[in-house]
Amino acid sequence: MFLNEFKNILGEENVLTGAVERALYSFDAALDRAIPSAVLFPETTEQISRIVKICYKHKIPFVARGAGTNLCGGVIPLRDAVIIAPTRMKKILSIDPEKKIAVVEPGLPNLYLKKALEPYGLTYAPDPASQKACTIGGNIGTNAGGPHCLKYGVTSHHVLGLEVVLPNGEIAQLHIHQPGSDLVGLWVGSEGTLGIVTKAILNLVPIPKFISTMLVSFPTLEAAIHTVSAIISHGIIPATLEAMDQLTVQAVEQFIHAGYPTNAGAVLLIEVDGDTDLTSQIKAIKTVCSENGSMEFRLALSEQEREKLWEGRRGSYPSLARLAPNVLVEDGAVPRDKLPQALKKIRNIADRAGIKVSLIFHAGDGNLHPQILFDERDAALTQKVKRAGYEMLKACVELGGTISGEHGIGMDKREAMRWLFTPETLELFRRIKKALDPDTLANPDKLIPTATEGKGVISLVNEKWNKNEESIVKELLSLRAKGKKGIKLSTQNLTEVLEHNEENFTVTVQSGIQVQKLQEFLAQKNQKVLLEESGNLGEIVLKGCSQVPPLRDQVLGMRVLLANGKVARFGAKVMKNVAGYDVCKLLLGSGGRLGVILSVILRTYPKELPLSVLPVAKSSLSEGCGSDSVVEGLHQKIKEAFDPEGIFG
Amino acid sequence: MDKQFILPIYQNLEKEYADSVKCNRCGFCLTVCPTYMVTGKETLSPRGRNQAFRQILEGKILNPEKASEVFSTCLTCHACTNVCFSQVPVGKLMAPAKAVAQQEKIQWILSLKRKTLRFLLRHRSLLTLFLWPIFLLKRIGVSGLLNSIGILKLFSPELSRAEKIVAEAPLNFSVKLSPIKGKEELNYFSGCGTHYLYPAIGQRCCKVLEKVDFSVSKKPHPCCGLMANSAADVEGAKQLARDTIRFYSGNNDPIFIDDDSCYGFMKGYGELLGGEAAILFSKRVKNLAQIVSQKKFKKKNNDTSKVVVTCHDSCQIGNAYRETDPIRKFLENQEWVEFKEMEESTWCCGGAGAYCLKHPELSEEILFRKLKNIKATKAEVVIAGASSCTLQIKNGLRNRNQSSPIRVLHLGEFIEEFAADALSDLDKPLP
Repeated sequence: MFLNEFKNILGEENVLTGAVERALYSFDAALDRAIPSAVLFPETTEQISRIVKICYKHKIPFVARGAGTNLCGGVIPLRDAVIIAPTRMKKILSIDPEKKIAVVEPGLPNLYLKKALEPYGLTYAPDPASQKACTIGGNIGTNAGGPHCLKYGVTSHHVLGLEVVLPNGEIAQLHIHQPGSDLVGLWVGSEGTLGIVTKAILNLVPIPKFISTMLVSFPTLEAAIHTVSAIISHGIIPATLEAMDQLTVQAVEQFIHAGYPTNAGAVLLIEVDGDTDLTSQIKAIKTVCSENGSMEFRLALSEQEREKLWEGRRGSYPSLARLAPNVLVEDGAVPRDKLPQALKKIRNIADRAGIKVSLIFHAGDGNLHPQILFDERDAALTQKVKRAGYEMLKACVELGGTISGEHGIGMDKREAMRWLFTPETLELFRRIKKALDPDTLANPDKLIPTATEGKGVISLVNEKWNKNEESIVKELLSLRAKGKKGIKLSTQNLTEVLEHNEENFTVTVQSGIQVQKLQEFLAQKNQKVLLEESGNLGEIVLKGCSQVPPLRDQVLGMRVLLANGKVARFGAKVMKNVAGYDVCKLLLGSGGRLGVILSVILRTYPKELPLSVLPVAKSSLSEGCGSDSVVEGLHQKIKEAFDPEGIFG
Repeated sequence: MDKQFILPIYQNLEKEYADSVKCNRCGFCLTVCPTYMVTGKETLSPRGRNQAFRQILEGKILNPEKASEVFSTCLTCHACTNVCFSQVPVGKLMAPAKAVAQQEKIQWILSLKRKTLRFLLRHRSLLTLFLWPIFLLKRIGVSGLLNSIGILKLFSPELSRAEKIVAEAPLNFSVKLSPIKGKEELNYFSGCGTHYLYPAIGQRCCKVLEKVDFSVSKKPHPCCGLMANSAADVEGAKQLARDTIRFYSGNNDPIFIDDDSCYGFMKGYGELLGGEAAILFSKRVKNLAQIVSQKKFKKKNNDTSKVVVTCHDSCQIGNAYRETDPIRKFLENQEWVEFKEMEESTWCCGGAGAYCLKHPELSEEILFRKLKNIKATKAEVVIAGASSCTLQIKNGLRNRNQSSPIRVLHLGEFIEEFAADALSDLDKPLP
């Protein structure tokens, strides 16, 4: 019996098999339930590797679970999986204040790391609301965000390297500076479907010397949103730009009394930070706010006042949670300029369903969290709430957004993936999963919808050919038909700027464009992209260059021509997007072996924005980042998932 | 509306069930729970315990007695409730939870056990008769001898551990009251822990109370009910609480309690029993820190050197009522005290009454973190208000370092040892 094999490795007390004990691992912070066949508590990478090898041998599915704070059923043990809980692997293995790097174990709670870093004047930037409890391993699994992402980026921006136990039990050491595709980028946000993270090398940032917090109220939500874009256009990237609608403010004030204005249509909580005096930034923000019709502008003058303002924001979830046994927290994201529309749609959906929704959002990122109260024991209500939640996600997709900004897909939003991605893209996800986990053992039935169900659900992505793209596809198909291998297609005719969304700070361009040309185009609108090298954009991406800030943080999405002649589309015009595998990262540095990039979505910035306002990740850490045979094997498997016949060279 | 979801046999637990379903499983309680932090197991976490309780009441866990370990490992330190948005009182739900998971299936045995315990707790003079010979055996070394050759362990592992942990076995439990009467009247309540294990603490407290001008009266009284509650006898706890209220109904004077665990439990009578009498009673109870927080003392012998002091907050006060200020105010008011705050002063020491006997390994691991935090302050004295904490921390220090320079003192002992007479009352203007 395999349970005995586990016990031999971990000891009797570290394998839970009792009915009650297993029942207590049947849930996370959402609604789904499934009982695991056992719960295992390893303490070393070696032990996890041995456990997973046993799972691999007997074809036992397994799920890694940290603190179980997931909001979308991400750690529910489906298919009688065993739970592997590395909650005792919570050591900080090293902190290097010079290089600003920490190496930690996956079970470490996020806030514990922050506390340990304080004496060094450093911090780990991602700050999900559950940071008191949630673990670094879980953060990596979902590519967690938080209010400070606007300036500091999400988890993916701060993970430099990973040690992972693969679904076959092998141990792989991954680093963003290894040659070839960015495998770290693929694993971050893969929700445990590609193995278990056992160690992470994290990027640290200095704690800023000055922090200032403001609360600004507006008569309408639209005015507040325009202010958000206007602030960024002024070359100011606040650390946080949080918004709450009137209903939320009223709920919070009833509970917390943080002094938020209950008569305003919306409020913004703006925080700026930096190592130099912030007075001019605050002044500029105040001017922008009043130009956009702000009502009240309140600057926190002391630490206590600052704390009070944050208390109101942090209180938005608790003030609801205390009112009902369940709160559905949705997690869509849309292009920033679409926030008012998204809000209207969400309100309409709620009204039609006859439920009350309150809205808080990371306005700077376009990431919104509708919160709906209910009681799961009321089955009819629960159904209604779930359906409304789904419709809200659909609304986000229709506006060019995504179904998850930071919480993940898990089992709850799997079906919604069909709206967001084309069948070709979903099929590629399945091939990647299959290549790396052929027996579907790692966190089964999560993230990717099955190929067979969901008939009749149509992708909302509007796929159409852009200029000169069809000729490339034709060329590929004819070369394929001739049985050619190792081909390389030129994209030099793909030179159009497809869309520049100024308010959202994104540009969608064809991949053959010269960076110089793109910069000239953007300069007319007083914007720029942060690309150091000049030349053909697609080639720069495929080559993968080391620049500051890293290229990997600039690319938000791509359309890629695959070897089978189909087009897959990843990412969106949103700042935060954790839906599906982050395949864009695989194309970075892939050298054209995986597919032909047709177009790219890039972040843009105000032209005058000094680089110094961005907390820059390091560029020169490539030392000691060679790859071994395990990593080579992974690259090979990924190549097979993309291009089994070796069409591309 | 909740009743329809509860199994018929648990209909009396509707209120507890309503508290339990408030949890929306966000998991914020995990990292403040000592047992979760040392084991990493959901089965030893507040969220897990509460879910187990809920599922039993809903009939989703078929063998409730299998969950008894899940509940009995709870320290009832209340740290979880403090961080809970919905304020789920997991610690308070554990007594009914332990009762539904009771492994004793034979009703009359269970009932007999409970009744015996209730009776002894109500009539502590009988408990004294029972304990005195045992303490005598300990004093003359017989129990130590039995323990060292393993006989006690054979008989009861818990008894064997208790024998090791208890270092002093007093044989005189009475407190001598001064004939000099102070200005204000005060009832003296002596917790079972201080009464039987540390009667000297009671004696010191009386002296301090006299110094600050109280006229103290003390009569043999019942246990406050905490012991019965910990033994999952909620009804017994309520009975004892009612007895206690009745016992002090003769006057309206404040009631001084020398053990913070009992003090916290009695502050909660209002909630436990409901009704005006219980709420009014809860307002009468005081501990020493509250009484002296505004008093200033001179150090003995005109000594000006400073004593470095840290403070451990007992769970029933620090977590359950967040009442951590009075003792700090007092210490900061004394010019001869250098107060050093320890990390996680409200983190449970792992004592938790009989917990350290039932779950020695867990208790030891939890204590380890507490001792680390105490040592980091480099304090000479750690002040602890509950006898259970005193016993646990003293034992921990003794086991690790034979000649540990850190002393564990009750506030009463501390004042008696270092302070001369009260110098002034900061509440009132100086003459």
